[in-house]
Amino acid sequence: MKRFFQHTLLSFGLLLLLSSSTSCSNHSETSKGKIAVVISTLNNPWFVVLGEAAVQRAEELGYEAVLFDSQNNPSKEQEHFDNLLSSGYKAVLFNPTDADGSAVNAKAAARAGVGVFCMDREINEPGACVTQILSDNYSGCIQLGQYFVKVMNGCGNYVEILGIVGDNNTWARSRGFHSVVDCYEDLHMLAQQTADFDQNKAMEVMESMMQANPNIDAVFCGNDAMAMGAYQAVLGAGKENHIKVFGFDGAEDCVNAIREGKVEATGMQFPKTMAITAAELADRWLKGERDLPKKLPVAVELVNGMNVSHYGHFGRLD
Amino acid sequence: MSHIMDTSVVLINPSAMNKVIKYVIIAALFLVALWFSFYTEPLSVRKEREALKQYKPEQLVEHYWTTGLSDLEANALEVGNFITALKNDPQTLRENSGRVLGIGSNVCYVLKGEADDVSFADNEFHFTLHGIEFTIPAKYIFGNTARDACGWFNIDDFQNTMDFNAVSACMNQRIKDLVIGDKVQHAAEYTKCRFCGSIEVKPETKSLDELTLYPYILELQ
Repeated sequence: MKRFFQHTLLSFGLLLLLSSSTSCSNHSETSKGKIAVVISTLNNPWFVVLGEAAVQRAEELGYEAVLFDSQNNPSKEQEHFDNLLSSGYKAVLFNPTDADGSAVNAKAAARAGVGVFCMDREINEPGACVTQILSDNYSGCIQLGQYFVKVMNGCGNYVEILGIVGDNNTWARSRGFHSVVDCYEDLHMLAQQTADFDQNKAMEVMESMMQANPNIDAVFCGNDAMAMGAYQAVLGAGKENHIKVFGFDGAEDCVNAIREGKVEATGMQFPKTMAITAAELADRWLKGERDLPKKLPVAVELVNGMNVSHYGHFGRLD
Repeated sequence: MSHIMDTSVVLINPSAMNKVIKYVIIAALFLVALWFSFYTEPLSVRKEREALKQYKPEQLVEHYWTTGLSDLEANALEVGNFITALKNDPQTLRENSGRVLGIGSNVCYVLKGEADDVSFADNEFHFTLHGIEFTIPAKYIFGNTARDACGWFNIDDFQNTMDFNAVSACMNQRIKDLVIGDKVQHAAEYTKCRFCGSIEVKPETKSLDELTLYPYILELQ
């Protein structure tokens, strides 16, 4: 009886070993390797869409894809890079936290032979990345600025809420907007302050701006999360019928707010397009193609009350 | 004889030869060090080199405007040919003559032509050519059409997109200040124009009613 149990246990163990080795070999046959998707923050739905779309496309292309959240913290981002460079990842689909600070991580990856593909946010070290797929923020904010002037009828007082100061997108958006609005001398900027692309911070910043400047007619925010935060502050102050809110991103809640007449306009970036393009370029690079564009801008489209029915789910509906 | 023998021994002595080579090398290194220690150059050359290290979009635009404008005009599409090609085969037109910056971007072209029904209203010049109403903004010039249509600048050559966008701002300013310039003051007097300028159309466009033109060259009579 004892011998029977020993034999049964042994056979079971052998079967288990065999099945696990079979599954391992199957896995190594089906997966082309590992791709890391490092996102600046998953605390903003827009970036969640960017990250998940990148993971999904990388998996569809046959890679094992893992999502990392840098929590808008450069040192957390560096930890991720340290880990992924020692864990056999072949490429990184990278949404950096800082245009200058993140360059170190991209360079370390490049030295290790790991391809870096920036999504949405730029780093100031173009040689460290294979390709940077970026929203054309400047042009997008020119369109937004022109619409702002139209809505404001070329006059009034406004405030601006900026994103993260170390991010190039913050300045590309602000400069695009100001390249238009500053031409109109009857439009006066009363205050300009950063809220780090964060909804709660934007609400606090807007509250203090309204206290200091009771005659605000409009607010331009560097992203939609901040626009929604600013709108909450405006709503709290009972000025929702007077202060016009403008955002940028094309986030779902902001597009819905435009539909409901709460927000005037936003610039639709296409996070899914950027993520899919990054994953596909990484695939081509891993297959040996080296003649890839260094920078690839993605056009931004103005979304306002007149065309909002065409937009949703972080892109165009049609 | 012994004296001659002695001399030959000195000449072919390997250790003496090594010493000579050593001293020559040391002397050469010393001279090189001395050259770099006391190397001088004119101040103007030095300043010019330092200036080139700093990114100046105005200089970049000035350079291309001076050297590339005649080629740009020579290769520009006549408006009539553009309209026909856009209607018949937009894909080929786009591949041969259009410029697209990135994904989903509009297609930019450089057009040239002459019109004889020029008018001026709301800070804009207007004229009609081949059934298309052209507008040339004279007060507010925004966007990247002028930069992207000419093909002088490649985004990959710039450190970051902010530098690339600064080129657009410079080009627009140049169009406003120099191409349009003081023509606005005598706008009512003009009826004819000759132009070479940039336009942009949506990728799916096959026919047009109106176009905004950002001129590189604008001659008014």
